[in-house]
Amino acid sequence: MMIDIHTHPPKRNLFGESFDPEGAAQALLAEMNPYGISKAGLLGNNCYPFQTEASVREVNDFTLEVVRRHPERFFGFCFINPGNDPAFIREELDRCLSLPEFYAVKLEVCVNCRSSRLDLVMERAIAHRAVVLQHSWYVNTWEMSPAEMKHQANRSEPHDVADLARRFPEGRIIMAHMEGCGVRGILDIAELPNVWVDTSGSQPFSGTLEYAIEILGSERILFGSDLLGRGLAGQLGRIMGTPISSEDRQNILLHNAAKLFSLHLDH
Amino acid sequence: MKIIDVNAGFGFWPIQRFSFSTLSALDGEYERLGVEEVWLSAVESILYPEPETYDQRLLSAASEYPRFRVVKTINPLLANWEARLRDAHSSGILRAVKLFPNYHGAPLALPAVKNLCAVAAQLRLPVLIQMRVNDERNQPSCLQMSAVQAGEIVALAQEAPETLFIALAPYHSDLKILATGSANLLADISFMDYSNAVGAASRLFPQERLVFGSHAPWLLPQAAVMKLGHLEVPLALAAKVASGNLQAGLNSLP
Repeated sequence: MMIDIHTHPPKRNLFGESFDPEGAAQALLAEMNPYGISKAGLLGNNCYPFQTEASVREVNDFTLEVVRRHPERFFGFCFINPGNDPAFIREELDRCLSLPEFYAVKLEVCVNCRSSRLDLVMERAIAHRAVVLQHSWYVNTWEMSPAEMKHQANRSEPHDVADLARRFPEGRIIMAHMEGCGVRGILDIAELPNVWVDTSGSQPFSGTLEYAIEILGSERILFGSDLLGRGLAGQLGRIMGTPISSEDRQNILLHNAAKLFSLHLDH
Repeated sequence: MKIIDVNAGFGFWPIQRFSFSTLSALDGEYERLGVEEVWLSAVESILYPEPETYDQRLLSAASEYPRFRVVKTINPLLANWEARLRDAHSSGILRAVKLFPNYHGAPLALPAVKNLCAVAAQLRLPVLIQMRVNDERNQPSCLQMSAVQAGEIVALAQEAPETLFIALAPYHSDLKILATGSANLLADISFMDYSNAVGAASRLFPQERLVFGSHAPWLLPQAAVMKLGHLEVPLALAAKVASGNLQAGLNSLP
């Protein structure tokens, strides 16, 4: 039994046809089932910045529909653009986080998380006892196109996540993309017990997971694949192929997520 | 199913802590995974103009492990590369030669590279071209290295039809370009990381030219093995990628 806390319901199939919520659910389940993934967190089907109020609501409505069809297999993250109007952010967070399908908040590269615009998001997440996942990466932008640079302009790096965690010690934060955060990113959050890291990001490079366990302890590491943008062979292979203890592996693949999200596993 | 890993290394890399840092540990991991043959090059040979020192150390140490076949790194800018290659070939465990064009500042269009291809064909050694060793997005700003352009590999393979080439560590986007290349150009699956990676790659690239590569020790070899075991990869295709395509390529050498 395993929990993948970082997946995205796909927008389209291989032929470019739009998925409805059931189609997206089936595409994810087809990947999860052979590997024994019991439950997956859905982070939304749109990861691009600068989302409007309408598109944010559309992302969350889609997530809601997928979870409602398979509540035993999925749990939702409420996608938020902190750059939107604060009144909308409050309304959308309260709308989603009041529903049993949503357990957490997803923040992308819309606004750097040192911004005071995050204050409202964190306050509402804490009020709803919801976890906040922040996309994070020490990305080297040297080969990026102007369009990609614009995409990354407001990104959050691990030291930014650490700043957010210090400002809101009662908040529970996941720093996404361990491999993108790297050794330095792991060190950035080492002294912050309210920050977890998910294992997703890039290829299954060796060495990073052992280092994260050494510095953070396996209790603060969550399995995340970034499915369907990434494959479970590579991303699960990162966990299964790293020489670590079975206890650490079980913490990462199951126990930590079950505890952090208070998940009931009846699958 | 016999698995041959054409993309592996051993040694020290200054910006990564490898999970398998001794030959014994690496051999043990391949044993656990059921990988029968591993083509190994010296990691440190990437970072110095002269690959000889680390290649020799690897040649000596790896000879104790029947699973490992040594791959010689060639810097075609060195005047005596051919003599060093022939020396290494006489050891009997040399399996291929490997180029790191961007790390050594030796573009594939150099005349020396064409000469190397001719010698490799004469010795019946495939030429492995390492497109990248890490994710460019994660490189420290003071250690930036571009990937080798797929189009340059395609052009070289067309100019040297007697030589067998294997492009190592291409992304899916590279595969589309590599697919336009000639039949003597193969590509490995090490950087294919989508759901059903092998199936997705075979939609972009001729499946009879896809070969197994793990890019260990940078990447975890189990991840590559798990790609072969994906439910939607037919067993026949998995077997071809695992070693069948490579064997066919080697058999095609004149």
